[in-house]
Amino acid sequence: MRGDVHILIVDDEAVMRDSLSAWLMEDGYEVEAVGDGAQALQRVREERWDVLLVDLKMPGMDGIEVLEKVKGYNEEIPVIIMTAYATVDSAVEAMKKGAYDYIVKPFNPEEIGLAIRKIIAYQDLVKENLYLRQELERKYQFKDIIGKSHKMQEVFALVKTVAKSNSTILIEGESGTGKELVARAIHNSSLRNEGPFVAVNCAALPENLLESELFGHERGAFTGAVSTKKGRFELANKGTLFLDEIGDISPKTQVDLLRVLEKFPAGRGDSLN
Amino acid sequence: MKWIYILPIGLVNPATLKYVAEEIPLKLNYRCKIMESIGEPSYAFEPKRGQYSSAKILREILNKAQAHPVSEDLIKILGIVDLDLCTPILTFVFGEAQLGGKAALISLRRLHQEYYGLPPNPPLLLKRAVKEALHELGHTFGLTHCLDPKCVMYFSNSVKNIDTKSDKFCDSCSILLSEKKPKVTE
Ligand SMILES: [Zn+2]
Ligand SMILES: [Zn+2]
Repeated sequence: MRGDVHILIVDDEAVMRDSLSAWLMEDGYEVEAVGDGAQALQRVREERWDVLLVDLKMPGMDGIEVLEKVKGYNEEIPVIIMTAYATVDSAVEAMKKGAYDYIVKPFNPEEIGLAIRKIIAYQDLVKENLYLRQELERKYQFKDIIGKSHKMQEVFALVKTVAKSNSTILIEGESGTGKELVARAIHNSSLRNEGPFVAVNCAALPENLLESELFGHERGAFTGAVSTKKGRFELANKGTLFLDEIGDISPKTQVDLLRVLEKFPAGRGDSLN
Repeated sequence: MKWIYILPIGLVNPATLKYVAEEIPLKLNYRCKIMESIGEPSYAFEPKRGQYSSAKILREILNKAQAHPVSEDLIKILGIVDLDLCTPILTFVFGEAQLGGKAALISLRRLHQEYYGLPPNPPLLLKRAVKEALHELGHTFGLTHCLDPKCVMYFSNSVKNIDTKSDKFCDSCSILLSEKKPKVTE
């Protein structure tokens, strides 16, 4: 049942090795027992172990030394220190050196089983979390973009790469191919994803209004400017500004835009793209 | 024809033995023979623990199994004791068995309600005894612990767990059991 869980017991007392092995085998674990630290380290190098149960007091290399060497070899292996002579000092030392648990012999029947089951559950959880996090990231960033083709995968990869920069990014493509979705994906994947995503459809606004839309205006700057208005650039501060249909704007606004964009050199913390 | 032998160790209530001997065949398809009681296991007493070593008693049961004339028709042997058992690494055990071997042992000590300061409950004691007997015998047939809390092979570290589980082997344990049990042809 738990035959895929490998446990290595390290104890100098044969009686303890036998008793613990027998009990863990009844619980369905695959168990091997060795009598000293040197053999333990050899077995750790030779095979993959899910849990090590190491006796604290052993002649030669003691449990703490085994713990240190095992951790030096592979930090991931959970090591449980067990002892019949528990002291606060040794417990503190064991925990500080990375022991997963410190158990006093003889164990309450469920104590050791519980400790091992906790480790197995934890390892499963770590694996599951990693998977879920990756899945979540993938879904969140590209949740609105459906694309399994090789070309779309390339786009996703590119989105991830450019999202890390603060440069101005030009997204080209036919109308309706999802440029805004790509822009949103870039925003969501970027360090600015806590900030606003501001979209402006440049083609939908007359030229004079577009200017004020983008750059804002002071009250009374022109007819109809009844109050001070923040421009979209300002609104998008610490976020992302998406200028849609930029090819449709007049040459004059394009020049103004270029002037603004040049003021936002790549790499500035709060710059825009 | 092979039998499961039941060996009383020290003082054990004969009615309990009889009940267990009658219940086991309903689940394991082997009939039981109750042997003559052997004396108190003073050799297994652990003065430091104030309990009895289950491993030492198990060894004694195995000796008994290998002794003539029972060895011929003996498939398994189950020792029953009314003393508290321990192992070098566990503070107590309800029983112990040789995984895939011949001998098993159960203790009634912690199955009595009186052990927990409660009034006696004989039917409950009998039910618990049968479950633990089947559990340890299951180990001798090579079964390990089952994750189904209703299955008799579920690991019990308290009487509460024993009471929660049934006296039945779940479907998957039953299949394993039928694969592991030798065909009864003799
Ligand atoms: Zn068991
Ligand atoms: Zn089962």
